Amino acid sequence: MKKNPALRSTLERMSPGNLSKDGFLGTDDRPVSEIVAADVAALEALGLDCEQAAELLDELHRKADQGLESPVVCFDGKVTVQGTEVKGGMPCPFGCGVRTHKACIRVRGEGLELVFTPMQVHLVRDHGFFEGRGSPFRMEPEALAALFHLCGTAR
Amino acid sequence: MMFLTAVGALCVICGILALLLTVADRYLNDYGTCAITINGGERVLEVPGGSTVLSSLGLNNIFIPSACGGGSSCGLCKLRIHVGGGPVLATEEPHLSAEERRVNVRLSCQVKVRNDMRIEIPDEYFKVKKYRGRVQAIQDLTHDIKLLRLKLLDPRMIDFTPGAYVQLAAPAYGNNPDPVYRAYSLASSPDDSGHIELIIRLVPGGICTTWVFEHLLIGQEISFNGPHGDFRLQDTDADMIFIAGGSGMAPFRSMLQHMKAHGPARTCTYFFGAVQARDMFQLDEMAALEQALPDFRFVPALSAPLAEDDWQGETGLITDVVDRHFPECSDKEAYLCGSPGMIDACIKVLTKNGMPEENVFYDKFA
Repeated sequence: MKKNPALRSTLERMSPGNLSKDGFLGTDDRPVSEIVAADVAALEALGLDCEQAAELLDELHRKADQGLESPVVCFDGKVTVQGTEVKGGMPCPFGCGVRTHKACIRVRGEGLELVFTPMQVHLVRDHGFFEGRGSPFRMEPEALAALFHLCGTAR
Repeated sequence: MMFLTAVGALCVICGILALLLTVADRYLNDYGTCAITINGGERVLEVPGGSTVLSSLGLNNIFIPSACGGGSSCGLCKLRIHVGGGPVLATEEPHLSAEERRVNVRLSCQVKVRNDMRIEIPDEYFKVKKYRGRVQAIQDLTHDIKLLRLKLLDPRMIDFTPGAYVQLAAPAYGNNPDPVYRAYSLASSPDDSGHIELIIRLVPGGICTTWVFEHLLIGQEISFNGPHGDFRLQDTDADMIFIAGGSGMAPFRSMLQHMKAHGPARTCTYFFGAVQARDMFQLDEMAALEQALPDFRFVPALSAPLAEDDWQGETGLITDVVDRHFPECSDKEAYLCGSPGMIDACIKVLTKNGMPEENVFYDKFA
């Protein structure tokens, strides 16, 4: 099927070397819409929705910010977050105009480790996009759900 | 036989259509020479129509900031097009606010020159040039930060105010098909006008930093454009507080080296924050600057030193360290370089301790 211009532009922005070295799709050859639908459904089957997941990631980002690149222990000691940042910005690959700063937040807790960026929070919240399989920054719905329940339990 | 005839006929038809398209393209898409009037006539360019405003200006050595090289993904190449820009394109819409549209801001990488135009750009853009340089040194400062020194080839000299940044071009390599541009603050003194130095921190998955860390070699030629930005020391004699960690040191290194050579010898305290000893760098250079500048004090601080670091200096978050040293700073100026979170946290402490917010100047990473 012929791709419409907007989708072509999105795929181009998601490809390696456009906005990031490895792009956003990894080795996934499914259509973006299918990737989104599958991951959103997987997350919901685990009792979580995209807004909840994004809110938690936002909270973890805020806590990491407070540490000014030092590790911050939070959620009753169950989770440690640490953020680093460099000059520059990251525009949304969907072309919606959102641009985030270039930070990397590492979350560790009870056998769980997750790395995310502010752009990924936007992608999850506003596009239901967790990146394609094989993408080095893909967030698995299962990992997000496990993190949510870990932090939720501590609350 | 009939099959061959049909194939032959099809080829002829395709050829005629291709010829028609070529002719149509030549005549319908020939916009002739167009005049771009810049800043009310400060400069007038005569350019062949059909290319984007960004590339037309670039060919005339006027470099508009762009990180994506014209792919409409970075949204940085904004300027005002008062006449001749046509309607806002779908590719521009996500990057333009209602207020920006009201004042004719457009994405120069998307708008094509099809007729005479009147545009407006900041004056500083006229000073931006494209440079070619050769890598003279790549020095490891920490496990994830390098110092890059370039000898300028063309032009051979650069003029800038300490605090400025350049856009370094990472060429196509590996799976990355096109060059990209990334911004780095100049870390060298403008007195060393035949060279520039940059402090570059590795970004996980970053196109440019991966290239610098894994592919760039001494002796290699690279290009950049600049100088850009308006982060600079104010022309006052107020005592200064510098706050930055990691690659944020770059503009302050440039400023301090310039101060050492030219003065004025303003009282200055630089708070350099890091997590552990392995994140510290340029300590010897800062100590030498303390010797050369009697009113300069360098205060490194670790927020989470390890036992084996055997750290005897300041500890804690850099904001706490600043708070301890300057519980009152109403008559001082502060210069900050770092993440939005760090800048906001510093502003909070400084204003709590009496500094008017208009005396805080910063280069936010974002």
